[in-house]
Amino acid sequence: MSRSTGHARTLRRLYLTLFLRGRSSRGLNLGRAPRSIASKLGINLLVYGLVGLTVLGGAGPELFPFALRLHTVALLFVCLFIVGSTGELLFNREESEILLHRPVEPAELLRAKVRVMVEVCLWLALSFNLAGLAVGSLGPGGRLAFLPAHLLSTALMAVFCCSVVVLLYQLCLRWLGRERVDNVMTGLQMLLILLVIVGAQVAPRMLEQGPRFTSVGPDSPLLLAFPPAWFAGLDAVLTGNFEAGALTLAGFAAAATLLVPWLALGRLAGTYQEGLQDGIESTTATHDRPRDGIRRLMRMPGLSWLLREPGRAAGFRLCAAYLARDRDTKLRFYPSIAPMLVIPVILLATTFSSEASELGLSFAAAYLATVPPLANNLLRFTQDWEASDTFRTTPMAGPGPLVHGARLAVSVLVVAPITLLMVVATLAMPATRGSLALLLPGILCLPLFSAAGGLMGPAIPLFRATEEARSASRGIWYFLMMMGAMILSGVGVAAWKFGIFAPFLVLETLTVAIGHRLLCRRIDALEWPAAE
Amino acid sequence: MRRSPASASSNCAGSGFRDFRSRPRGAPARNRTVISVRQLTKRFGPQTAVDSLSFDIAPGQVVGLLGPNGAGKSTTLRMLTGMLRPTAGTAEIYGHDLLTDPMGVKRSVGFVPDSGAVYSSLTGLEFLETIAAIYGIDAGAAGERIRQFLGFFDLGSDVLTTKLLGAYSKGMKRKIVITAALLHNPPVVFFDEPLDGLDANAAVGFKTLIQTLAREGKAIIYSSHILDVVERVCDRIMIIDQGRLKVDGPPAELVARHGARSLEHLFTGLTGGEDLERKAEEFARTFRA
Repeated sequence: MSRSTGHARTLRRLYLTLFLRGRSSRGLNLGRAPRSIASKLGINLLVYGLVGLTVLGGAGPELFPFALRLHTVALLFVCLFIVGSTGELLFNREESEILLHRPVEPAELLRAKVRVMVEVCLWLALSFNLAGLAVGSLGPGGRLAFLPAHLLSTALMAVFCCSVVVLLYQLCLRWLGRERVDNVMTGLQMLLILLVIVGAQVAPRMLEQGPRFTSVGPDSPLLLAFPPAWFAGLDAVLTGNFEAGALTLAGFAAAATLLVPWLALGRLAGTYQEGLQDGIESTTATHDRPRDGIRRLMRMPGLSWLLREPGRAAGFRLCAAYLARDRDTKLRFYPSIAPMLVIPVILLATTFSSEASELGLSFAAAYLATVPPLANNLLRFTQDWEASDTFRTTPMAGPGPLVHGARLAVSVLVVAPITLLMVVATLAMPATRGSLALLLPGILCLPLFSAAGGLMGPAIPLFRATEEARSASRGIWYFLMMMGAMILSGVGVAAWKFGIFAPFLVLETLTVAIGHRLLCRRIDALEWPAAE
Repeated sequence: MRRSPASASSNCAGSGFRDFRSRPRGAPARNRTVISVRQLTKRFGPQTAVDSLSFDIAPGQVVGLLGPNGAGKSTTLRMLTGMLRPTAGTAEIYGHDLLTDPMGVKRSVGFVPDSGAVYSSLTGLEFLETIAAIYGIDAGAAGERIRQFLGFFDLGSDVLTTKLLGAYSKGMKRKIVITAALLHNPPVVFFDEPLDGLDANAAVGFKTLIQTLAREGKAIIYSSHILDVVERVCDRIMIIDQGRLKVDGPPAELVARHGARSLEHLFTGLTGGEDLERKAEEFARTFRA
């Protein structure tokens, strides 16, 4: 066996283990980590297979729209998976210290990583398409040729999807340099996640004025800008549809699957090597840029008053710093809340009738209220959890002030900008402009939801190891909060329709004020959890 | 005396080292240099981390690399392992040029970085097997070497297979990293703060291991802040400050040559650490006020 073959096999096994065992297993006993790679993969495949069943609802007899729908949803899920998990795989900071002084070429590392990504993508895409494959080849109106055709197009789609993500990272690496890529990594991930979700929601509506593809044909010129359509075109051609539109789309699929990997793995492979070495340089080089943004923020009128208590100020400073600077926190935090942020936007963007827009608007704002509890919960976990002893040894009676500081940090740095964006988006859309006030029920209840979230856990910032970031009870909390948000938005719209919106707001404000006061008292009375 | 030729054949903990006595073709003879550094320089923007460093190291030598924080010790080692590109200058390690044959250099070097970085999601055994496979060591030989190292470091095999590295203590991780650096039996070994996190017994054992490795003919660079350990373990010391080599020679000779009371005295004198008593007094005074 040649050295490079041996390396390829070793690295594949290494990255597959790291990829599937994941960040959440850090620090666990092996017994508490996923029992084996196969079991974790099996669960993932099962989930994807079940999600794949949902795509079949309302499937028509036409093969192209059916294939288009399958590829759209498969690409959405595979992209979300790959975008959320590859940043760490490609740019693991510690990897340079572990492998770069050993006899292995950076290009070998990149090839092994991409191979693992493609493999996992392929498994996920195939399990997702399993039901679709059966229906498309054996169901009513189906063709047997659809089976090999769709298998091939799905494989190409997985290669394309992984290569696009790698190419984007490589381009950022080349244009921005390694240090900046590390800084913008989470922003890039969020942007990609938003792009994928919005694209998958908006494109079908642009093509058909509805959420599902049912009658669109391969000749629509808009489809050329929609990658899933390329692979659906390949399905059409391979099953005997030689229309010009289908041939063009299939040509795009083939060209993209050749070109993008060539660029990512061939032309830009050297960039990856430089990126790994620059990663060490950026940890070695010193920064002469003063980092006083947080201090200036804390001095702002209003906020400085809220942070007058030293414990709160410490909690705010700590969380703001980790939200802005800590790579590990950013990689976990922002991709986790990205879907929460995009759903309100989609709700706004997809309301066409006036009635739907009122409910959508109200629910979008109320839904936003579920962000603070989620965000505060995510902020409980860090790799630096042992540093929390610093606070335990100070004369603070309990962690309450830290929790309040963390709530404020999330409100100022995450919730406020999104709320502002939502107000601007509401004003910008003619269908929602007149109903701006319907955002108020959701915005008013933000402090209450935030305080309720402060008790979950309890949400003491940066106190728990990252590997503990899994809790069944958390899911129940979110479900209850989501239900609360839905009820609130429904009641708000009803009050709007019956002309009692102003009294409703007064009542809500009073309820929130009382509830917030009570919850804050409970947070103030929190005791330090046992150190073990 | 730290080493005696009579004990040169004694077993070292990982006796996998013994097979290294059959010197590879093209490898330098025992009386020649295995590390030859010429005008090695590294700049990060306007800051010069390592400034025109030149030295030679012979097989069997243990060289202590001393310097205050930010002096350029880790940067030097990272360049010599091929992790960082030098801005200028070059080095030849075990007959391989750093710039033209970095893979040859990497095959000849074992490196324990100060970060002690490991893949936290792997078990200790998975990690060591991966590293062994990268060096092309077959599974049987790797298993035997791993077993020997574990015996040396008193690590139970159950720990190695049941716990992920993220759950290891700092000292246990360090033992794994040291094992990973020595698995392929390299002729040149770089240690960057290797005792960080090791308990007293492991530290004593490790110092013995270094001396045994040197007797086996390995060239060792030992970078540390702990002066008395360096003084005891190394037969030659290089002190660098602000990237520049200040002094180079046997510890006793250096102390005598500079008229210093001790190595500590020499170190503080060369690296601007004088007047510490006055500074401590000023520090304490701020509290009194």
